[in-house]
Amino acid sequence: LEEEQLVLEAGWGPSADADAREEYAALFPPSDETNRRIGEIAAGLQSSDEATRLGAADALGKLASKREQWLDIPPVTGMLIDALPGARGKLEENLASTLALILEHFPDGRSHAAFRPLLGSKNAAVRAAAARGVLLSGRERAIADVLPLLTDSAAQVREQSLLWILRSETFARLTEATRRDVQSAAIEALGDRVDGVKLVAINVLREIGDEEARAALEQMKERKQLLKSALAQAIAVISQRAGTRKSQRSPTTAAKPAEPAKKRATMPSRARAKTKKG
Amino acid sequence: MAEDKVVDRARKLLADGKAETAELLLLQAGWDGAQAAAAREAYAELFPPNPILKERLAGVLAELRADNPKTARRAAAHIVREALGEATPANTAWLRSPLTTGVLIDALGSSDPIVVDAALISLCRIASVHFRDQRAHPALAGLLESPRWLTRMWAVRCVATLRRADAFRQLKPLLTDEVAFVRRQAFDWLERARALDALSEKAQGELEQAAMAALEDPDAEVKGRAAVVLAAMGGEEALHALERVSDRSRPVTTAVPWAIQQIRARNAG
Repeated sequence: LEEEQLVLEAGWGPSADADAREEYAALFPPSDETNRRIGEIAAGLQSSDEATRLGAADALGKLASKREQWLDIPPVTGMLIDALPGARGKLEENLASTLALILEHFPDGRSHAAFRPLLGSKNAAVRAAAARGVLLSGRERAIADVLPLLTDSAAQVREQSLLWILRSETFARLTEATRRDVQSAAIEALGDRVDGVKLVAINVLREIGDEEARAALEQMKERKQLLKSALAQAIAVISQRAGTRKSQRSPTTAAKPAEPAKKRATMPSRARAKTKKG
Repeated sequence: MAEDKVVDRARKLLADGKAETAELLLLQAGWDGAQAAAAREAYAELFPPNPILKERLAGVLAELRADNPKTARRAAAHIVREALGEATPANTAWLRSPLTTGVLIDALGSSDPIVVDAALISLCRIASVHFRDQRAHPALAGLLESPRWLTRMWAVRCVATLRRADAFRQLKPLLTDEVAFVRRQAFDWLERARALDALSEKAQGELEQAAMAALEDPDAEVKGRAAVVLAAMGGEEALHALERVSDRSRPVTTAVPWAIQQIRARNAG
């Protein structure tokens, strides 16, 4: 329901409006059937028996994978947020990945505080889920929180972090300082040994890269078709963007045809230094 | 159509077995357009409360006025759930009635803001799906100035749904409301009103100006919705304003290029 979604967004999105939360609780309470299901899962997660807790988390994970829409509500995300701090090992991994999965459809801002401590987990799968969860929480500082994971020892964490930075809501409204930070990290990731990480880094730079990023991309030597075509596309998009900006700045140049990208490309010293190192 | 002709036509429709058409005709004549007394009287005579409506009037609709806030809120939630659900013969039997809307209009004066919001949500839906009850308008006009942003937001939707000639004048200040959610809904619902030919040419011109100004709104969603408005009605000036937008937020990067394309296609045609 559009009306319910509006209240959910206002209550659990970036504005975290208390009136909206009260209105949601009063006017859009879960059905009796949903309450029964939540009660069953909550009882399982709170059980003193570890196997029962793990079974409940597994069952919830399977429901989330099947995209059961009744999960996209504050009582369910709240239950997972409450269960996370006490969980360890496989249980923590399951709960974190399930919550991250639900956040794709219901970005509950409360999850930011629950996931942030998990960015330093010893378990790589938990770190990857935490990066995704922090970024999906929609909080302004989310990208800054996750940036350190772009040099994580686990490729899974580096790839997931970069991928969810690219997909996050906050990516669309980066401050110039954060854009520069993300660009630097993505340029660094162009030298990653894992193709998946490189591919996402190229796509990130395609979206936010400037001349420095284009220069770094032009230095890349890639044989694999997928990376080659992503590179060409990124360079073209950045060139077009730079051309658009120039024409916007100077009305006198607006009518002139854009010069070929290669001729205009100059490599800033910072990018040159990074390329030499890499 | 003159009052007596409406009533005659409704009686004939009923005699021909077209009860729903007759009912809608009388509801329109009695509570929306002319607000004709004869149509109201005929409606009361030809469509007395059915058993479902009687049950609701004695049940949830009566509870909406309960002194106990918990009871009133529980009733409000029930009404909202039924009003927002898919229209079925069972819920139409009581939602499509001036007796129901009468109770909801009374609830617009409730001291509980959540009951007020529930009444607004339900009246808006009833006006969209069943019939527009213009008796709500005086109370709605006051609620557009509510200190509670949620109430202002629901009131915007409700006023737009009534499709009155003065709707734009009343909603215009909400296009620059301090809360982004309200501004978003104001653009959304005025655009819907425009698409239904419910805005005068003058109002459309003012909406276009407001949408161009909103391209500099701090909220990306508002910018996106303003671009949608301009896509449908913008001219050369709007095209230039859209071309100057540099925001890379998703709602903007989705709506602005599309709006530019729409205006160019219109200009070319």
